[in-house]
Amino acid sequence: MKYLKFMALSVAAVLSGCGQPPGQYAIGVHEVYERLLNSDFTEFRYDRQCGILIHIKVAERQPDQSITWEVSSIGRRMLSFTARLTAVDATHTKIDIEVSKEANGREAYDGNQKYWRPAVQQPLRPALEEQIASTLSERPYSDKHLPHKIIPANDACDIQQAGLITGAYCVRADDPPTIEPRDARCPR
Amino acid sequence: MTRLTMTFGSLIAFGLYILFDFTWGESAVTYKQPIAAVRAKLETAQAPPLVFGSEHNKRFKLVQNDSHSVVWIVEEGGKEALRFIAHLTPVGADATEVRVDVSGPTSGAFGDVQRRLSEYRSVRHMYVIAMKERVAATLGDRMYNWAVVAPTVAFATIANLTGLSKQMDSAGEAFRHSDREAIRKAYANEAARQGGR
Repeated sequence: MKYLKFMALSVAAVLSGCGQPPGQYAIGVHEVYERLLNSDFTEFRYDRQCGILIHIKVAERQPDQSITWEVSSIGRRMLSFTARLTAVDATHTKIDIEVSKEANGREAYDGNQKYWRPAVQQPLRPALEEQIASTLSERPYSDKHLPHKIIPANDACDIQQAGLITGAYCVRADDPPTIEPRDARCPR
Repeated sequence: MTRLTMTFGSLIAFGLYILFDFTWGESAVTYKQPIAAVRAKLETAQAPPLVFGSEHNKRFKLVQNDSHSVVWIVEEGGKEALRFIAHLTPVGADATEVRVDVSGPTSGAFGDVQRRLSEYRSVRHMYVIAMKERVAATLGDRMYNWAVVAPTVAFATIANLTGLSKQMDSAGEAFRHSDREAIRKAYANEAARQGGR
């Protein structure tokens, strides 16, 4: 009986993401809000990190309306993103994602931005959509659901990431554009 | 029709070549050089290129050189993964017969490599042919001829596509795990530093 209940819940969770218009989920707005508020960004961070250490925390929230997360590094705000919730009806919710803008007026980490010290891999938006979809479907975040990952704009990201992974050098968000490896020895 | 015949003919020719190669390709070769000269030259032999997959973290080194054989091992991460042996037999005073073989450890960091070499004969054959060409190039004072090895590599690749795919998946998973561990440690260090302030 327990298994039947589990199966029914799993099927319901899978079906909730099927046959919906983009960004719309067959879940009531309050439940969407609650699930997103408790969204775990661990896998997202492993997948999208760029070598500088980042932290993703809820910065603002308006119950059943919106949640804004801030991505920071060494206490410095790097970017933010917001999920805006609109109740379509009692059992359906539409989610619009907004990402903070850069000085050039374009969305941060849109796939064509240039950063000396990028915080996350570009383009960010598909990864945010996957984070939301996986949270609402109660399944693990997976990069397999992303359309593409490596683009030229990620060059600095790849270099920083290689340093962190190999332990050869660790870059910080406040480092100048060029830094000698001896000045960036891990751990910092 | 002509194109079909040519394709079919090419496949048969490739199959016959591989059959010939499997049957006689590993046989010993006699070099008109005394055994002392052969040993001295083989001490300088380098790894055959492009047959070990990623060269990252691999090391090819001479571990034995006596009157009967020269032995090299391929190390990965400091652990023996493969062993190449050139068996030397003097043929008169000024010639030496050289037969190349490959083996692997039966236990340890990479498991039973010897058993896998027996199972994946095309891969084992590829290693022998590649090393045999390296020996021939070294003793002949010439460049390594990739064309000699290419058909064997192509056959080994085709014959082991499923296995290669699994190996790549497994290697990818291992890299992902190691990457994640490094990232996790970096965050743990940062948390420890902040906690210590």
